[in-house]
Amino acid sequence: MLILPTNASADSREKAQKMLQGVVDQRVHSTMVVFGDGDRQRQIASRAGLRAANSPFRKVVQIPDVSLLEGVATFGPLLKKHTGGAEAVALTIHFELSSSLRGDAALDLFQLEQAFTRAGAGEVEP
Amino acid sequence: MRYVALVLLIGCGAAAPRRTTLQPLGEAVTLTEVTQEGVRIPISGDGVADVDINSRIEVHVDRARVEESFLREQTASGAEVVRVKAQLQELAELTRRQQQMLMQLVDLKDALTQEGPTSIPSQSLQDAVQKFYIALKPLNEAIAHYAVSAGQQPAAYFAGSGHEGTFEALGEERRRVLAEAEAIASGSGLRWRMQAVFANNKPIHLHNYDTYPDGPFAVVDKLEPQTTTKELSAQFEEAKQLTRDLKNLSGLKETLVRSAVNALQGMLKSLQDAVHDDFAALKPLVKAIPDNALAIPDVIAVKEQLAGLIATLGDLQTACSSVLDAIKKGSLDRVNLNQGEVCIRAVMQHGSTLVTQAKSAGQAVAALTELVRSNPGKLGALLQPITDLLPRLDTVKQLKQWGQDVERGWKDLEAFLGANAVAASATTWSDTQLTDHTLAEITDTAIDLRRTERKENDLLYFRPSIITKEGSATVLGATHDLRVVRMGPYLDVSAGVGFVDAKNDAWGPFTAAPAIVAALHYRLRPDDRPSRLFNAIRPGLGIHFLYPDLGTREVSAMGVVTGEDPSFELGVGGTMTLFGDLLQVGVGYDLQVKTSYWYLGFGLNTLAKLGVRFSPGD
Repeated sequence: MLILPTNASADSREKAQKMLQGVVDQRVHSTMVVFGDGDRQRQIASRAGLRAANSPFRKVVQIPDVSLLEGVATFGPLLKKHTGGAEAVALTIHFELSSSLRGDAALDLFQLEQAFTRAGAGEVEP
Repeated sequence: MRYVALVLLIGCGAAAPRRTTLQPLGEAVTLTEVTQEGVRIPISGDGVADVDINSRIEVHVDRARVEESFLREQTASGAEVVRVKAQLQELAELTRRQQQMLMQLVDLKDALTQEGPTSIPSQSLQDAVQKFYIALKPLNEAIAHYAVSAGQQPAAYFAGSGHEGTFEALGEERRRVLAEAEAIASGSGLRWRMQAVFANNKPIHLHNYDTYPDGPFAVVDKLEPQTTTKELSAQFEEAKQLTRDLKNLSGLKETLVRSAVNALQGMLKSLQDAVHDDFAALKPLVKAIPDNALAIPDVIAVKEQLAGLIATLGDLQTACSSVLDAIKKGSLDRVNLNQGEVCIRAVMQHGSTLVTQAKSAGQAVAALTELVRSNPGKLGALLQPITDLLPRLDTVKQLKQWGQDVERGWKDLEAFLGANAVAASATTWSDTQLTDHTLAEITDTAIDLRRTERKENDLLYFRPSIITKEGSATVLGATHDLRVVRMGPYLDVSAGVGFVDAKNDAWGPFTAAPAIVAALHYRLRPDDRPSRLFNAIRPGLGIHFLYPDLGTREVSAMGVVTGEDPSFELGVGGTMTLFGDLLQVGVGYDLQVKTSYWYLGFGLNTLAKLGVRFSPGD
C-alpha cells in the first residue's frame, strides 16, 4: 500500500504528485484510491490492501491530504469524486475512474473485491 | 513458479487442480508411478499408460470426492440430503472455477516477471490481465450468491489475504459441508472398493483392500534379456526352418498359408461336417416353416437364426470347398496355395459371425423343439413339416455341438492371429478376497510391481467402485489401464532371419541365414509426440551372429547340391534394428570364408509377441 505524504509544504506536494504519477505511469495495476486520514479511512485502506495482497496487478493508494493533488489535470477527476463524497475510487490500469465506494460499501470486503475486479476488467464509470 | 502455486493450493487444504473428467469416480483416485529412482510421475486416466517394470503405483484416494460420490448415491431424499447435495455440487463447481482462475493468475504473474518490473507490460499481457478480471467478476458474484443462499455474508469469503484467501475460505466451507455429508452418508451402508487385475484375470494385491498374498520382492535387471533360453532356442530352430524354406522365396507365403490352414484345421473340420452334411438340410428346414407359424416368436427366431447361418455358410462353402474336400480325404497337402489363401480370407471375414450364429441357432432350435414338445396338441399339426425334418437332421444336438466346435476352432484362429486376442477378451474382476471399506476406513494404497509377478507388456487394470451394503456395485469406476514396460536402457536377444549379401562388386544374391541378435534399446517416458514416436520405432544397436552361406557349392548335373566349402560358416558383426527386433540391417565378417557382408533381416521375437509363427504345426 502506498500512503502519500501529509505535509502541505511545497516539497511534499511535489513529492505526492510525483508518487501518484509514478503509479499512473506504471500501467500495470488497477488502483484503489482511499481519500482521507481518519481511522475509518485507514480501515478502508487496510481492507482494500487485503484484496490486493499477493497480486502485482492491484495497488492501494491512500491520499491523506487530497488538496496536495490540486492543480494537476490528471488528478482532476479524482478530486471531483472526493468532493462528491466518495471515500474510495477504483481506477483501471489507464487510471480511468471505474467505480466509487462510500458508506457501508466502502468497508465491505466483497464490494471492495468487486470494485477492484471491475477496474481490472476495464469497466469505466459512464 | 507454477509448481509453487500448486503446492500452495494443496497447502490451502483442497485438492490440486486437475482436469475435469466425466469418467465415473475418475476424480476420486489419482495414480502416481514411483520409479526405481524415486521419481514420482502422475498417471493420466486416459488411454493405456506405460509404467516401468520396477515401479510402484501409488493410489491416492481423495476422500472428499468419495464422500461426494457416496452422497450422490444416497437414496434417502430428505430436505437435509437435498440441501447438502446441492451445496456440495455448487461448491465443487465454484472450486473448479477458482482453481482455473488461480492457475491463470500464476501464469500472468510469471509473464509479468519475465517482462521485467521496470517496463510497462506488453499490450498482450495487459489484455490477458483484463480478460482474467472479466472472468473473475462472475465467479465472485457466484460465490456471493452461494453465501447468501447458505445464509452467510458474502464478505466472509473475501476476508482472507488476496485470491488465495478466498480459495481457502471456499475450501473451509467445502470441508464443513463435507462433514455434514459424511454424517449423512455413514448411515447408508455404502462401502469403497479398489481392485487391480492383470489382463489374464490374475488379481493383483492392493494393500488394505484385499487378502491376496504379496509376491516375493524382485527387481528386474533391464539389461538381462526377457527372452528365456528356451524361447530363444525355439526361435532359432524356427529361424533355421524358415531359412530352409526361404531358399525359395515363394516358400514364405506358402509357409504362412499352411500355418494358418493348420491352425484352422479344427474349425474347418466342423465346418466340413456342417457344410457338406447339415447345410443341405438346413435350407429345406427353413423353407418348411409355414407362414402361419410365423406368429410364434420362437419360430421366427429359428427362421431368422437359420437364415443368417445359411447365408454365412454359403459364403464359406464357396470359398473353402477345396480345403473342406481335402480335410475329408484326410490330407491338407492336396490344398494348393491359392485355395488355402481364399479359404483363410473367408474364415477370417466370417469366423466371429459364424460362432455367434451357430450358438444362437442351436439355442433357437432347442427352444422351438421344447415348445413343440410341450404343446403337442396346439403346435403339432402346425409345425409338422419342421418336426418331420428335425429327427432326420438331428439338428438340435448337432448344432449345439457344432457351435462349440466352431468356437473352439475360432479360438485356434485367434491364437494364430494373436495380436488382438488379449485385447478382445473381457477381463474378469473377481469379487472374492476383497476388503471393502466405509468412509472412515478409506486409506491410500499401492500396486507394488516389484512384489508382483509380472513381465514386459503385461496389461493391468485398476478400478475403484462403490458397493452397497448387499455387496453389489452401485458405481463401477472407470478403469485405469496400465502396461508394464522397461523404461530406460534395456537389452533384447532374439533369433531372426537375415538375407546376406557378400560385400563385392555384385549386387546379390541374397541368401537366407539364421541369426541371433543382441541389441540395446532405450524407452523414453512417453511425455510428448517425439518420445512416443521414438518408442514406437524402438531403434536398437547391437551385435549379431549368423550362419551365412557365402562359400562355394558343388552342384550335380541334376541340380542337387553335392558339397559345400566350407561346410560351416559363422558371421559376426554389428546390427541396427527398428521396431524392436523386427527389421534389421547389419554388416559383418564371415570367419570361415574370410569375407565381409551386409544383410537385411527380420527378427522373430516381435513377430512371436504378435502371435505369428512360421513353423508348421506350431
